[in-house]
Amino acid sequence: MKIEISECGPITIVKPYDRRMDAHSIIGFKATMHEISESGTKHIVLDMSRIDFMDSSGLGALIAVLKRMSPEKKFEVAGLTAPVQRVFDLTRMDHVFKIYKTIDDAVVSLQKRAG
Amino acid sequence: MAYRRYSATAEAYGTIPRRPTLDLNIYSDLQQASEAVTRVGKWLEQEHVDSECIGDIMLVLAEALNNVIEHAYGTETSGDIQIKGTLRAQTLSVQIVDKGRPFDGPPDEVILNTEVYELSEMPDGGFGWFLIKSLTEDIHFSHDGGMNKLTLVVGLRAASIRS
Repeated sequence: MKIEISECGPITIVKPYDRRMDAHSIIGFKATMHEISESGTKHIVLDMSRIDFMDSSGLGALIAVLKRMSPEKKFEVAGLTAPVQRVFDLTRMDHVFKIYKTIDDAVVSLQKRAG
Repeated sequence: MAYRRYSATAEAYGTIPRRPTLDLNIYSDLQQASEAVTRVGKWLEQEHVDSECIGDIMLVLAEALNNVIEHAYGTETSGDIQIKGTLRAQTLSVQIVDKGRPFDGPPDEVILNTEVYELSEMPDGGFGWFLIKSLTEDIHFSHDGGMNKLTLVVGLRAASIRS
């Protein structure tokens, strides 16, 4: 999976360029997210604005990242397309993940909380 | 695309009821499954099914194919999987046939109590059947002649077929 990674202060923004987050495409994604979370970054925001299909394997990969973060580090998601939002809603993961409309909203919110 | 065989037929003449079908034959490989899901989505777009329904159908098919690959064939990537979609006025049925390990059949009930878990205990799998059952009207399963046959019926909303 091709991924763009950018830094904004203590926040790492991860933007997958694939349109799918499914059992086939997440193999490389999991390894990349593991590297980022272990790299000393404070918070991670996943920009999902290009993803127009996600199955339960994709969702499972996101839950695995969330669980691996230490309590003081945040993993939040932004820019969900309608089909991706639907998977979050159906599985009630919309209550587990902090979801932002845009990546800018996520960055502003995290920066505020970081003081 | 890397399908082993592929054929598509459509019947839409005169007063004969519209009943397009799509047949795909793939190997038990995640990339081929992913491509098959995309192909079904494009077929339904051509048939003017609305985009929200298409998203649900693609999700149901992806989950079912992932289960077949993982549980019926395991690490084998050359197992046969046949997919047949039949579009009717108010439903789409998708039959998935494999010759892998016998499947016990879909679970009767899948309850997702994600609210009760602490984050550290949150399962990161097991959502597949929950999604399939949430998005289908009917599910049929049989195992005979060495084949698992799973049929998933998804309802199309009244305004779904635009033509």
